[in-house]
Amino acid sequence: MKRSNRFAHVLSVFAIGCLLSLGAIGTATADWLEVPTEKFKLADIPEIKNKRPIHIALFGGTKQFDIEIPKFIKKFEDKTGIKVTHEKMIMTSIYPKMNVELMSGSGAYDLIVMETSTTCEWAPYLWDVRELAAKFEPDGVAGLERDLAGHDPALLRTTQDRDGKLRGIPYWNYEQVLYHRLDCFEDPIEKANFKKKYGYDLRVPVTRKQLYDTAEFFTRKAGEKLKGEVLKKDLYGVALMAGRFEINDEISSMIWGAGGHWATIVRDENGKAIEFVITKRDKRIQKEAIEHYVSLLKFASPGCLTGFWDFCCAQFVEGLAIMMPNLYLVVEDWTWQVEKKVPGAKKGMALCVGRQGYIGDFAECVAKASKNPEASYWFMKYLGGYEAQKQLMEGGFPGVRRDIMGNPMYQNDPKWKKPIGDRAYINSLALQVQNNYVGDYIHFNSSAMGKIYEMQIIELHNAAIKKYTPEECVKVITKKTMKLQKKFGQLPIREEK
Amino acid sequence: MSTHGNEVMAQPMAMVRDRTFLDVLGDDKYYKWVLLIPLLLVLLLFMLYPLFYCLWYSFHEFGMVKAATFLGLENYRDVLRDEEFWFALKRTGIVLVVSIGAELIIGMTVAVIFNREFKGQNPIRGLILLPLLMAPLAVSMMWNFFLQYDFGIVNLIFGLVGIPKVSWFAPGVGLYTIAAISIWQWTPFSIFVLLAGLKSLPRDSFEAARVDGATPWYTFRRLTLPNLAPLIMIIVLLRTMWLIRLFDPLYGTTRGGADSELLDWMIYRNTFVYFDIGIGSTLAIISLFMTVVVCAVLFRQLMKALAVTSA
Repeated sequence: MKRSNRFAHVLSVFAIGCLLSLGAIGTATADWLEVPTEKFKLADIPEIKNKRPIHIALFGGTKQFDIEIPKFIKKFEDKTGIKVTHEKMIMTSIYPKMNVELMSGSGAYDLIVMETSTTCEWAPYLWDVRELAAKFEPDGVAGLERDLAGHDPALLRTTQDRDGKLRGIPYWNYEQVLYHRLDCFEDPIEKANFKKKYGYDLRVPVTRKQLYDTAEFFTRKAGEKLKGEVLKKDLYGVALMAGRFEINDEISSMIWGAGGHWATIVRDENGKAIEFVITKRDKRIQKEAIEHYVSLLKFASPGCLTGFWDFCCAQFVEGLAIMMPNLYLVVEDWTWQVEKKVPGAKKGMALCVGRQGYIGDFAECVAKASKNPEASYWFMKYLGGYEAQKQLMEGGFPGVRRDIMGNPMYQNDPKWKKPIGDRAYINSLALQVQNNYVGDYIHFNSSAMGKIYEMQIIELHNAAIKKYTPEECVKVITKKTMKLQKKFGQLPIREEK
Repeated sequence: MSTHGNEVMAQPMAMVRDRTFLDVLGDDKYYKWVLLIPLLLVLLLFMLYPLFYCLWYSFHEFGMVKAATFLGLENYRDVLRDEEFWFALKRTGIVLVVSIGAELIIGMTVAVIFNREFKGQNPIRGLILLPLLMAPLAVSMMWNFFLQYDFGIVNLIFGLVGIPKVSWFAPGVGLYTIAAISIWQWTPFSIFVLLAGLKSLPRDSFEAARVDGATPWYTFRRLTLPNLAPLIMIIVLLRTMWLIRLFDPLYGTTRGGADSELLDWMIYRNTFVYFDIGIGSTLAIISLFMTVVVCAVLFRQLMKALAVTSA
């Protein structure tokens, strides 16, 4: 009896230990487990009373996306009997076009497409999603909340204004990650050569120094060797988007990753943002980030100076670049082709150096000028809902929902591991990190960010082409950020001298 | 008497009263206005109204968020003090001179060649016309692919013949590449205008020059060029107006990057990216003013050239 008691005691301690361990693992990977949320699908859309046709704007970025979205539109039309017309827009035309239509209150679009750095700017012209839910959901706001519980909170934050009102529902996420040629990092010859040259082990970079060294190490001329084989073309350590398009996303990531900001938000005791300050620390980190970026350009193709994401990706896929230190997850489906095009190539993904890759998404938002906010609400919810997002994710896109990214099937089933599991893993990891910081970025707090964003592109590109020194660039950006925020923003801004 | 007198007086008045509205419209004195008024209304609505609206905004601060605030000449002062404006203006000037110069030289050379009869002339002339028929934005995107540093066909061909790759859109080069794209598209315009001029030149003067033993170069300098002067002026005038507004080649390539921002792109950026309507309008008014001044000078030259040739 005593013995069995002791056994029972040991067993119970073991069981508690196991439970605690599982609990600890569970806590650590809680975001990986499928979140029990409402799996909203087309069939759940109730009868819509307002039968007026709706016109929507969508981001028309890739061929695959252009094929998938019209299918959802057709299904929505069939289910609701409401005609939906749509326009696809490229990134560069979204801001000017949507801005004019929203501000003029033309009502040309019932649903607009929003790149989330303009959330605060467009908030006055967009419906609060919860307000719409209260009007149109059979269960009121609770019905919406059940669906939102499955969305990624960091992405949801990007579609909130400063007052916490949700202005849209994300449907396409483009978190940045570090793409690399895993085969080169694992190659014994390369590892040995790297160790000999730099005195430490070759690894996927997690610090700026490692990124610089690795980029330098892999930059080679045609005729030199890679993995023991003679190169037919020049090889570059990195591919960068230094053209006048999205260079600021790369540098924002570098600034955030070093603990800096374009402008620091000052909050009151209730956590409400009251002003922006461009601190001395911010300026120092900005300068260092720009210096780092410009130094990396030595190891990038000259074509990078006018290159965008598509150029970088093409370079990587063709085996001309070893790393894309900050590139959007949305191109992940394309990057796999390197394994087909370059013999022996293996693609890898990791968090960007500093772990805070640029975050943002495209969201659909109901315009206040919409003549059919009811149908617009349901289409927005459907596109960001479980059913549509699952199809999009399985079609090759990074998800916006944790309840899909965290589906264990994608991790455990070999059939899904490569096409989706790895992407879902890195996406979820990156978003978890960003969830701690995203609320403090100027991008999601300034009503002038649409303009500041464009200004950053121009001035950072000027630094990349060496028109300015990094220090001059910081001065210009500071001056112009202040000017734009004062002119178009709502919160005051000042510079710490 | 008085009755009779009244009758006499009444007759012409009745004639005036009998004139219908259509009679008035049919009168030579008014007919030209009947034809002009619809056009003037359209001009008023779509040109003068926006122009004055633009002028009004140029004196205001307006970002579409708050109501417009009157600033007086502050926007003009800001623009004229902005070094980006002067850089953009300088670049626009370079593109203008390079493009018009190249188009005239190439256009004249090809027109002279085409002025002779040769086998397959019609298909070749048709092919030469093709760039003009293409959408300017499509042209700029096409050249962006062709001139891409690592994957572009031009650098691939260079590689095959042992020429080092060129970074076509790098700072210092990009501006000339943009000018070259414009030249590629618009040279056919010069070719065909000049070819039409060459075809209509009086043959007897050339015959007389030939009989007098004039060399081809002398004939070209002393006869062909002076006779084509009005057409050359027309090309210069039109291309100046178009080139000051050059936009598409930038949209598909550098987007104003690599030190290639031109005046029109700067207007677009300020107006439709920053939505600084005040500054954008100011730039547009300055651009319009410069275009009008330059074109007025060129127009005067055109009139002089016409006077000389008709004499």
